[in-house]
Amino acid sequence: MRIIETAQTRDFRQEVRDWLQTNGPREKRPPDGAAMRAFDMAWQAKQFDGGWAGISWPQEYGGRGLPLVEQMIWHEEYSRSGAPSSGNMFVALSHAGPTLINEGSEVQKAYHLPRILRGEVTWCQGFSEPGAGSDLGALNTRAEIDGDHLVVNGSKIWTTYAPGADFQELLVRTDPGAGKHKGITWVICPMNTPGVEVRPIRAMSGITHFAQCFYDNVRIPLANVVGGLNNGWRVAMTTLGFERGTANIAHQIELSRTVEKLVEIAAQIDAPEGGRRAIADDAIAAELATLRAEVAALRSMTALTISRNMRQAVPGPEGNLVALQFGELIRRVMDFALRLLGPRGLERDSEFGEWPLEYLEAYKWAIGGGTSEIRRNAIGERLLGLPKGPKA
Amino acid sequence: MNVDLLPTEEQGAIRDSVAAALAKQFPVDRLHDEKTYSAGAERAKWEVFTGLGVFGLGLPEALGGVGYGLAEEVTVARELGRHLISPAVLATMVAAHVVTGDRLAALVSGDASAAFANPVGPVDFSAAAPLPVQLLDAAGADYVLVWNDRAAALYRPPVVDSHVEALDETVSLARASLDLGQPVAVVDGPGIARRAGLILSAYLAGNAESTLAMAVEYAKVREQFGQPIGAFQAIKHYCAEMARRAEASVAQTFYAALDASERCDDDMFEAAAARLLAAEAAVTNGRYNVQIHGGMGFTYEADAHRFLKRALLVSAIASGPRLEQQRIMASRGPA
Repeated sequence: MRIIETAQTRDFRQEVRDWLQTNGPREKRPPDGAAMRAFDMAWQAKQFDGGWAGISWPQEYGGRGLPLVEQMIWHEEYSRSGAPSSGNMFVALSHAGPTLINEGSEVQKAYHLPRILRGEVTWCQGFSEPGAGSDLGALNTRAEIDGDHLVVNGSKIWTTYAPGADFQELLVRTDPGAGKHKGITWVICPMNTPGVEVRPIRAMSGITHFAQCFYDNVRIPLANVVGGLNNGWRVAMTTLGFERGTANIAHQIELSRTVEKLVEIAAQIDAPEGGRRAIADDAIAAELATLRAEVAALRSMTALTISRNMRQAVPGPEGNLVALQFGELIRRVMDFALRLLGPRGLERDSEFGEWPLEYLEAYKWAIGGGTSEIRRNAIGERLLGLPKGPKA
Repeated sequence: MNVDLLPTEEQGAIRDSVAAALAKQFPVDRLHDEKTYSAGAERAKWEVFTGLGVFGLGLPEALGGVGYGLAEEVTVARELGRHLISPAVLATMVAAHVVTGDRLAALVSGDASAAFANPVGPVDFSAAAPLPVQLLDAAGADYVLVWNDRAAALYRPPVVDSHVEALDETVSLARASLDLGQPVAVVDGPGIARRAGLILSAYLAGNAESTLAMAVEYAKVREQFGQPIGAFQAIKHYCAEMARRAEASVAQTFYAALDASERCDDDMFEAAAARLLAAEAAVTNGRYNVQIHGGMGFTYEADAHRFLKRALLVSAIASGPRLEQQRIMASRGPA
């Protein structure tokens, strides 16, 4: 273990900080719909123009081609600056783009990567299905080859930012006769193709995050297949978490800010029995201390994960440890927030913040992208080498 | 996030050489036979530690040390934790940062050693009344170590009031009263408390990693209902949580040990977070390890209880969850 900040990276950090301070969006990000999408794309375009898009992407496609340390510093300073999340750009920047860099053809890379970095297109992810959630390998959306096209029929669900998206990274079953994980193909689906229908889904928080997508004889050129027919499982798995943990820095910093905000609130509001501030209550102070420690550990676990990923080409199962810590910890933090705030915690947009929304939204982290239970399975089986579970 | 938390090549070599020596010279099953095991007798084998340079590891070469730092000391302490090495070894590692000159040379070479005097109550170095302490594996020690958040001091071992049977039978515990006005050596400043806290954290993290490994190993071989119990999610998910806790405590301890920010000298936040979580990880993993071993876990014969007892003991040395939580809230919080 060692400190890796050098004079060079310190300069880079300062440069990032200065640029974000001058150029970070001042106006509030619209809460939903086309306005939000336009905002996210404009902010991405501004980052591109400033030379900050695709820090670790190859230079030939418009990136900076810098090492992981610089990528990490960018994420860290970005979050500290309070800049908005990449939102509608997220799948394109953090998943589709990296997948194309690793597995795409020259034509695919040359077409898509610059458009992503310039903020001209948004992507969504078509992986989960109504019948294939935790058991993603059971996906059943069919694609049959017809001439030089795939013809897709089926449905995808939990597709974040689907409304308005230009492209979708779509997992389809191209060989139903092959093994569960063997007959799957990763294909780029232009969302304006006839036969694609998007139906928004409202989440428990009241926000419309995601959608269900339906495919009725959707014809996609075979040239849109990434990584070869029937290689989709490998393509999807090897590029999951391509940023190798650096994107987690944003979540961790945000959670740390939330806990510090709760420390401030506890110093402002009275303890339930009155007569003193909440923070003077030993039990409340003790809980805050533990949450502070757990968030510090989350930061250190992120650093350890990135340290590992600096040495290995493909992220290992250890990434599940930090994801599990985050998913469980954010729920504990939000649970504490509502208990601390008492009746005020029930109010949307009180003088202390929008806690009901934050509380409800926090549930997604232990479900989306792999539930905590699936992560514990992965830790048990892939990291610790325990035997696979019995078939039910 | 300006850190690389994996061992450098040199740190890896230190870890491997210490781990190999401990596995050979101090296998955990040495503790099985109460008649032959005694901490006092084990001191005779401390030349293994001096041979590895354990006591001068974090000291400059000019002072007779090896020239490494806290990062290497926590690397070693983690291995000591895996092998249930006497806490007096940790005390001697810290004590080397309290003394100078001939006294230091004696500690580094193994001619002298220290032990913890675990305070029963707050440590006030200006108090007139003697401090009630528990001497841990102090038989044969030349000094006992006491610290608070502002200073650390070494004393000649006080007269033992009584030998006490303790929760961890493999560490001797004696009651004594320590006159804080007569130190052999003193170091001021919170740096020494941070060092002591992190060496203990690393030891606890190593303990938590060991019980994780034991539990996983057992879950792979123990069969019930026609299959290894590790195939059942109830057991597998316990193991996954043990892995998460061990990872959190290792990562936080290493991060805190590397924290070279200016504020780390007067802010105990990172070290207190490490200590709080490492203690929790060691004790909770210890409990799950007993549980996963089932009936065997409840026996005296199996090692599960030895790791649990050591975790409880070391968690209580100059610490406790309430103390660490107060340190955390007294700090300015994360940087």
